[in-house]
Amino acid sequence: MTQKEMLALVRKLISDEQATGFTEGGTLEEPEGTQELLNYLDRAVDDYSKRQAANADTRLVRSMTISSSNMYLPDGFLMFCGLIPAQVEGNFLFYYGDMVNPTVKYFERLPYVSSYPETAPLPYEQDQYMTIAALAAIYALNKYEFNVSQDLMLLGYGGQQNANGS
Amino acid sequence: MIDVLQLVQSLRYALRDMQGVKISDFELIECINQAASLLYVTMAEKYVRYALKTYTMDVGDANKGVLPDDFLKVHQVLTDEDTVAVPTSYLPTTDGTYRIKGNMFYANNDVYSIEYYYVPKRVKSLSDKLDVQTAMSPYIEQVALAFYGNNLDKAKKVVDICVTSLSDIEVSHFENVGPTQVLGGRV
Repeated sequence: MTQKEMLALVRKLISDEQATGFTEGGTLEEPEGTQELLNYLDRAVDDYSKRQAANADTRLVRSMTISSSNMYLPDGFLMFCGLIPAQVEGNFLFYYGDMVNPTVKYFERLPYVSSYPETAPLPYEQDQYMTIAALAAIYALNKYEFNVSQDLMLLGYGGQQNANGS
Repeated sequence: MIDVLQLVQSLRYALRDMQGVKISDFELIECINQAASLLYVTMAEKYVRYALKTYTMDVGDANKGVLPDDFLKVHQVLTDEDTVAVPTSYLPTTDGTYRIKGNMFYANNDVYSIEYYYVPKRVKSLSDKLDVQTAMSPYIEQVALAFYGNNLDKAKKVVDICVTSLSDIEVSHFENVGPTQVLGGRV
């Protein structure tokens, strides 16, 4: 699925196929219309990735080799799998373990929808497309103050979990 | 010697994380190190001979030598004529006496065979080997599991059980020494 198809899917979910609610265009400076939907998609990617990482989804696991005691973390780094003898400050890593050049596993955020060209296929799996589009649609509907609690519930995002703000 | 990889694999199985998504290798290696230390220190306290090693020390003309890194405490010292050397509280001047101070061994110009209780050296990576006998692997695993979660009390209890079990193996060959014993005396 491409970015364009993803946007079409979200429009379908919010009954805006004609692009009358969220019109074509929009820029990062003026995030309205399509750009606004893209922002919702990115936000959905972010939220989905964090939740899946917290649930130890192996599809988000990547590995890296710590080759130096000071190094930058990879883009999209969320958290390590388990505890690592290292300090993380922002996107910088200070390693102090006694294992030399260890390979460690970490959870990585899925790439943002907006970071791909309009017609390039996005590197997601089917269920990820669906969940991300559904989340983005919920954000869009929420803007117009529709009641989205049932939609969140269906994605497993509702109830107590939501009440805790987690 | 036990492969650290093998221990980590067993621990991951017990902790239901064979893929290593929830627990890192660092955590398990740390648990193995702590388990080995506590188990061997306790074994030395209880004089369990599985924790014994022998080191041949040639004190030479300096009349002293450095003890091995994994030295914990001395069990006995033999001279090169296989007689038991005697510890002294002063610097030894006659053959067959010795003194241990810190990590230094003082004796009179001879080759000595030092039997000592050791603590396995720290392992650092999956490719290392833990300096314990293969038969120790279930004990190390059980104690390491107790250490996972930083539960020192539980670890100590498991170590006590392990040490008791190891002592039983050791004295089992004394079982058939004669008629039944009642209250310490023979019937």
